Amino acid sequence: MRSTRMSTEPPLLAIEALTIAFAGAGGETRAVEAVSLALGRGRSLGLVGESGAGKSQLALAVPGLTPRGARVAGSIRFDGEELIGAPAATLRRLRGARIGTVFQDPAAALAPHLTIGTQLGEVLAAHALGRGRAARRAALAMLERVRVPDAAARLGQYPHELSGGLKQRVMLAIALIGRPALVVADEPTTALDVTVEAGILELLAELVRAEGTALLLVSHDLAVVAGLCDEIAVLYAGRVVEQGPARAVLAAPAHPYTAGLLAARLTLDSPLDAPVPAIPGGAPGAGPRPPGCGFAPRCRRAQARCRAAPPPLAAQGAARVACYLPLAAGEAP
Amino acid sequence: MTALAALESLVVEFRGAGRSLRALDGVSLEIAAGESLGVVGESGSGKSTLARALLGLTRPDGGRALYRGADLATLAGDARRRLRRELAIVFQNPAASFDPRRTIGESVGEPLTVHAPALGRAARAAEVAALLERTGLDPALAARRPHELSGGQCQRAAIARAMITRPELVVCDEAVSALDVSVQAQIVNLLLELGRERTLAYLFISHNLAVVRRIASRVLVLYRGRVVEVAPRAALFATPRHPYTRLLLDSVPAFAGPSPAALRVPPETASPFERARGCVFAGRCPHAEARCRERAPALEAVAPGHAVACLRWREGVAAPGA
Repeated sequence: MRSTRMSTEPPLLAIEALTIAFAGAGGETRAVEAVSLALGRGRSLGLVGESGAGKSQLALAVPGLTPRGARVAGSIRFDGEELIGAPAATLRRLRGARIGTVFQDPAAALAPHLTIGTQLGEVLAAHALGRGRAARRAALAMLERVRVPDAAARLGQYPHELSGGLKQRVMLAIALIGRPALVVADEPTTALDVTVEAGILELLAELVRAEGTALLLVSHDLAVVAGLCDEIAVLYAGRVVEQGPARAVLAAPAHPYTAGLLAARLTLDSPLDAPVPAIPGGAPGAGPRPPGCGFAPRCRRAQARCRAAPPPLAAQGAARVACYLPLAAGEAP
Repeated sequence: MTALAALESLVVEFRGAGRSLRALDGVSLEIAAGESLGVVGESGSGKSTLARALLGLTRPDGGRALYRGADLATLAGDARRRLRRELAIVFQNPAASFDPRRTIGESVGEPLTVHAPALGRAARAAEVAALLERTGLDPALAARRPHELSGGQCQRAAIARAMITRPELVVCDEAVSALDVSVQAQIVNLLLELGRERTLAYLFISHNLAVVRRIASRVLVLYRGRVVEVAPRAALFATPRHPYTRLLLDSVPAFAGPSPAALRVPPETASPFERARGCVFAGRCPHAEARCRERAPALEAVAPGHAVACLRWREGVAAPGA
């Protein structure tokens, strides 16, 4: 929101024609297919979609965490450096120091046998950002920044001694202590209680704002993205179906899937006297995708050409939409 | 009139390693036939223990769980079997609640082998097919195994299995929480339709307030094993009286971002093994006074059907932005 990107400056993160595919018994599954996205310094981009949309695979490819055995094609440039096919040592150097990561389940992501202080110190030591007393001071300061109460005592504690919310704050501290240029957060609040979630989201927003860190956020919840991100990309069956400024896209979605997702979402104001406007059918499973638009089998507007070839992303207003029959502003899906 | 199901001052404790955790601490509730009661609470509130107690799957350490006025702890023989037929449950993770080696048809029809043993194979298969169809599934899926179904299909099958004995009360424990939003909406609609068609009573447990609001006509709010508020839907969402209910409402993710009021409330720091002497929410409550930590507030009637356990409710402590 605050940084105005100069047209001459290359984006911090540029993803071009990225495809991530997994071999399976029924044929190859393209978890991510021909996705291109860019993220500027200090900007935030939310990846939204349902299970199987490819949002987590897309985000995890950035810090080089794609599972072994996947076929990866295309390009991911981070600060001008190509990451696809980069040596493991390069990716290790970037992770922690330049790219921080926050995952859904902090219990699984934290090392259970190491104290919180040791885990924070390891990030600093690995990237030559400090050792010994200086590292301890930095770790303490970072825990205080993420508002962990009794921070000094926590340095000597193990992950299992902390509540879920506190573990997630520690994860944020580990992700941010190396002062990365980019934080990749995959469903960072999904495993948390709702009254804890708000605090973590606010903290994340405040930290990226204060540090000028760019944020790539994966979420199934449109409200989480709306509250946190400048830009949104909606994924379905491995492809971006709509992208643009988060506010504009959510106020007037043009892709029938985006509009359907918004309508199906129950809120505290949803009408009580009519059925919930659900999207018929379910997300596609593993295996080869049908040839046309991935959403066509569930789309009420679909026509023959939608099933023949996937529609390209085309500009519509402030957004870009991959649909032959996009909705006009306010039109029902 | 006797309620269909009821809990009377129910206490359930878990013991181990020399410690005890009071999962439910004097919970009372009633569910009338055909009524849907929502239960909201976060992790550790005791919601799943409450579900188990209501089904007679947990032996209480105090109080009673009643079904049609009979104490579940003392039911035996035929009465117990009948109870099993009239009560059903749908869990959060449908794939895990099916035996992976059995076909969907075998699992859905399994309750009939117990409760309607006289029914022949063909008649049972016909019942299964009819219910699969009613829950929106192709009856041909009866021959498939759980791993061949999507999450939404599995949950429809779990609902079919719950409905096959024509139960009076169905307990839904986070039954739509693991589903994608677009599929969640379908399942919510299905539960609403079945509830109307069959005059089912639901105990609908969820951490998602928006989903509970859509399904339940009455809502009970649980915190650390105690009921802090219970009210008809309209009252609970429009004029909550407990500061914790207010916090839950303020915490629902909104497009405008987190509410400043919700952010002022600190997370719980007390261990679940600690037993609060006073109000269970006092440690987090922005309105707590010394007396709140000393004395546990009793549930007090606010309006017909609306009760709250808060010493300060009359002062409007749960008003927006209070």
